[in-house]
This record gives sequence, structure tokens and C-alpha cells, in this order.
Amino acid sequence: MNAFLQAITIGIPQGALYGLMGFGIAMIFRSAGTLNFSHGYSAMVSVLITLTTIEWFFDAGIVEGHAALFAAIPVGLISGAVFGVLIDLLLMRRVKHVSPASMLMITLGLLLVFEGTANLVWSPDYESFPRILPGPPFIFEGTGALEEIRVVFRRNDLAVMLIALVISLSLAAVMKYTKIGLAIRARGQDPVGAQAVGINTNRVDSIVWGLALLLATVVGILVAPITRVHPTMLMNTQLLGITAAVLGGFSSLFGAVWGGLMIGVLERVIDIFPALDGYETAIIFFLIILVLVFKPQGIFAPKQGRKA
Amino acid sequence: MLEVADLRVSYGPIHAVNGISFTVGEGEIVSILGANGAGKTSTLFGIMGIVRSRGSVKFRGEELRRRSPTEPTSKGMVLCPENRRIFPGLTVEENLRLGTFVRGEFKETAEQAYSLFPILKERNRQIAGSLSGGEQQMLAVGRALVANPEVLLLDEPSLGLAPVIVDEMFRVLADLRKKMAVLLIEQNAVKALSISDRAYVLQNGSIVHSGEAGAMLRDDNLRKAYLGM
Ligand SMILES: Nc1ncnc2c1ncn2[C@@H]1O[C@H](COP(=O)(O)OP(=O)(O)OP(=O)(O)O)[C@@H](O)[C@H]1O
Ligand SMILES: [Mg+2]
Repeated sequence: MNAFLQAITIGIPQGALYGLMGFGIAMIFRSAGTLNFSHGYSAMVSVLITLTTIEWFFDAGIVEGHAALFAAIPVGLISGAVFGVLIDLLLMRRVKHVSPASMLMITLGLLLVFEGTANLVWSPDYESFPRILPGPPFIFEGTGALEEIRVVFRRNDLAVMLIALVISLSLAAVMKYTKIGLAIRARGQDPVGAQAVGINTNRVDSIVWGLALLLATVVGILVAPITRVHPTMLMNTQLLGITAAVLGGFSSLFGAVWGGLMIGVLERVIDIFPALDGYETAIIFFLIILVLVFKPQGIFAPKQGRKA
Repeated sequence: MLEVADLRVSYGPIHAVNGISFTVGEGEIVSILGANGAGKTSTLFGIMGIVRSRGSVKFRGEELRRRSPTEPTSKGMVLCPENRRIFPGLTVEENLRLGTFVRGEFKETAEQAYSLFPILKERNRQIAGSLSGGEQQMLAVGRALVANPEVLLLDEPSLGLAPVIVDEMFRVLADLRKKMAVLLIEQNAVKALSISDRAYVLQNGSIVHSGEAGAMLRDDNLRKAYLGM
């Protein structure tokens, strides 16, 4: 019981990050039409940029202590958005009419470019990264009948959860109520239809790439204190983000968020059983295969009408 | 109203449209006829800025830059694309609302679409992907109409429809004449000519014949040579 509660406490914030990663991946997949294998790697470079900016602020003596982190975060986020827009303008726009396979190859190439850049310009070493909310963990202890309950809640996870919640809600509002959200959804449903109502789909694609990689950078900054900063720091998060998107069914963006939460909790719950130790990823992927076979639209997919 | 001169569209080495010129006047219905692969859709895509094209497209005397469909659409040239291209996961009403994305006031223009196609009002809340093919085509035309077009560009609105529905569709189109100019792309030449003022015949990306619709309908040689009837 206690182990289970503890698993959920750690799993939810972790899963929220997979979910946000998956949201961006699903957004690019639906709108721009490719699976972005470089998603976590460009975010990793943005995290390195953030870290360098923090150090630079320290050295220059401009901002002191923890404030340097908050001063550097906008720089990192902007770099994420800029990477996204540049990838779209310089690479994807040229090949998107050619074939989906060429876009996929480009994202694989970018993965290597980002990883190589990190190794060359920075270093393959593990660097530590400051937490948003530093300090000792919260410990909840039960009394009376619940005496055996003792759940540890990492302080930084509070920030992670709040940020993930605020971002999810704002994304939901943007997608539902703003013109750009409407354009993104229309573009994902039918690109020619979107153009027929006057939407500039090229511009929508740039916005989607920029937004998705900005989001990935947020995830990168939030996981960095745990994974530390190194070239493959987001490999696992990206893989599970893709998985979250598959689980949610690429058809609904918020399915990815729910999928991520499920994976995050599942990962920790499997951890409880010593016999299954080390098999977390294998079990999760086995479940994914089951989902793909029995519910290929994703478990949260709305009932689809017949295709036009 | 719409003047196209020397329009060219290529996809890499493939030349789909080889410098065609035509006009659509105020209140006119003009047809472009031609076989599969003649370049009809490419012509419309070029005019609307959906694919890159060379040549000149003037709307009300003003040269269009055609960098994206936003510019022609907001000026009043509205496309109803081939194969319907509705948004299958959205409801009928959401589809129609999207029709006013850059032009048109939904509250004012929706009534017109609903009165032309009453089924759309009945099915307002239904997911568009679950409509029948004919209903989807009506939705596609309705979505173009809510943008309050000055020139409506229709790409094969009768494609894949049962004969009864085709007749109904053409009746609606003929009625539009009083309100807007129409550039109609069709393979169903007899139907198209019967509601058109003028027509052009497109073959391998070039205009091989043009004239007054009634005369073309009566010209046996032309019908045999180009329209396969
Ligand atoms: N995206 C594309 N890439 C390469 N070639 C294309 C592309 N779109 C069209 N074409 C080619 O351009 C030519 C004209 O195509 P288009 O779609 O304009 O013909 P169409 O007259 O509309 O035919 P249909 O009646 O079948 O719709 C064809 O040979 C087609 O194969
Ligand atoms: Mg066509």
C-alpha cells in the first residue's frame, strides 16, 4: 500500500513530463506530418544553452544565485522555439512535398547533428542543473490507522506538476479558443481543406515546430536536475514521449498527456516488484504492442466517423 | 473580374499547366473542361497560391502575389476543392465556421448555406466524417459559400455523386449566378456547359478551345474531339 502510494507520487510528475513531450511530438506528427526523432536532442541543446547562460550570468556577476536560473530560462526557451522554426523553414519546407520518408530521415540526421554538437561544443560529461524549487523533500506520515504510511514527495516535483498543469490547461485553451489553435487542428485534419478556407499552412507548420520544441525545452529544464545534463539526457524521455503519443492515439493531442501520466505511474508501479526490476521498459513496450494491435487509434481516441 | 494570363504550374520536371490565359467576368459562370490529368486542379491551385505558379492573376484589376491562399481568399476568391476536403473529425457546424476563417461573418452567411442545403442544418451537430458522400460534397460547397465569395472556384463538385444528387447540385450552382461569379471545373461537360456562359477546354496543360457555352454544346466536332461524348 505504502509502496503503491509512493510509486504514484513519483510517477505522476514524471509522467506529466512524458505527456508534455508526447504532446509536442503528436502535434508535429499530426500537423507537419513526421515523427520527430530529434525532439529530445534539440531540447537537450537548448538545456545546454540555458546552463551556459546561467554560468555566464554568474561569471559576469549580473544575476546572483537562484535568480540566474530564472533569468536564463527564457533564453533557453527562445532557443527551443528558434530551433523549431529554423528546422521547418530551412529543412522541412523543402522536402515536405517530396515524401514523408525524407522528412523522417532529416529528423534522424538532426538527432546526430544535435548530439554531435553537444559533444563538440560542450562536453560529453554529466553536468548538474539547478532545481526550480530546491530544498528538502516533503514527507507525509500517516497517524493512527494509517501509521504505516510514509510518502516522500520531492519538493521540485511540486514545481514540475504545477508547471505541467498550467501548460496543459493553457494549451487546451489555445487549441480550442484561439484562431491559431483552430488553424492547427484544421491543418491536422486536412491540409488542402485548411488551405481552401484560407489558412497559410506553411506558417502553421512553423508555429507548430516552434511551439513543440519550446515545450520540449520546458520538459528538458524540468528533468535536467534528475538526469543531469549530457548529450543523451532526454533519450528516455523522448522514447516514452513517443510512446505516450502512441498510447493516446496521435488523433487526440491530449491523449498524449494522459498516456504520459499512465506510463509514468506504470513505470514506478512495476518498480515495486523486485522480480520485475529492470524490465520496466520491456513491459511498457509490450503493453504498447497490445494497444497497437487491439486499439490502433489509441486508448483515448474519440469514436471516429467513416473516412471521407 | 478575374483575369489570368500566361499561368504556368510545374512540379519539378512535370509541366502541369503551360501558360494558359482566361477570364471570368462579373456574374458569369465559366467552365474549364478537360480529361483526367489535363491540369484543371493545378490551375486552381496556382491561382489560389496553394502551389507555386508563374504568370499573372488579377482580381478586380489588382495583381495577386499568391504566396499563400490567405491573400486570394480574403479578397473574395474562395475555393471548393476536389474530393471535398472537409474536416472529418469536426462537426458540420464547426466545418462551416472554419469556412469563415479569413472571410465572411458566420452569423450572416450561414443562413444562405443552410437554405441551399437544408440537410446541413439538420445534421448540424453530426461529425462530418460520418456524412454520406453527397452530404459531404454539400458541406464542402457550403463551407465555401459562408466565406461570402465574389468568385467561387469549384473543382469537380459532381465527383462521385449519384445522378439525382448531381442534378440537385447543378440546380444550386445555376442559382448562384445572381450572387457571385463562378469558375467551374468539370468532367461532366454537358451538365457544366448547360449552366455556363462560357467555357474553356484544357488538354495537357494548354487551352485548346474556348467559346460560348451554348455554341460548344451544339458543336459536334468539338464534343467528339475533346469532350469524349
Ligand atoms: N503534387 C504533384 N506532384 C507531381 N505531379 C503532379 C502533382 N499534382 C499533379 N501532378 C501532375 O500534374 C498533371 C495535372 O494534374 P491535375 O491534378 O492538375 O489534373 P486534373 O485536370 O485536375 O485531373 P483530374 O481530373 O484527374 O482531377 C498530372 O499529370 C499530374 O500527374
Ligand atoms: Mg483535378
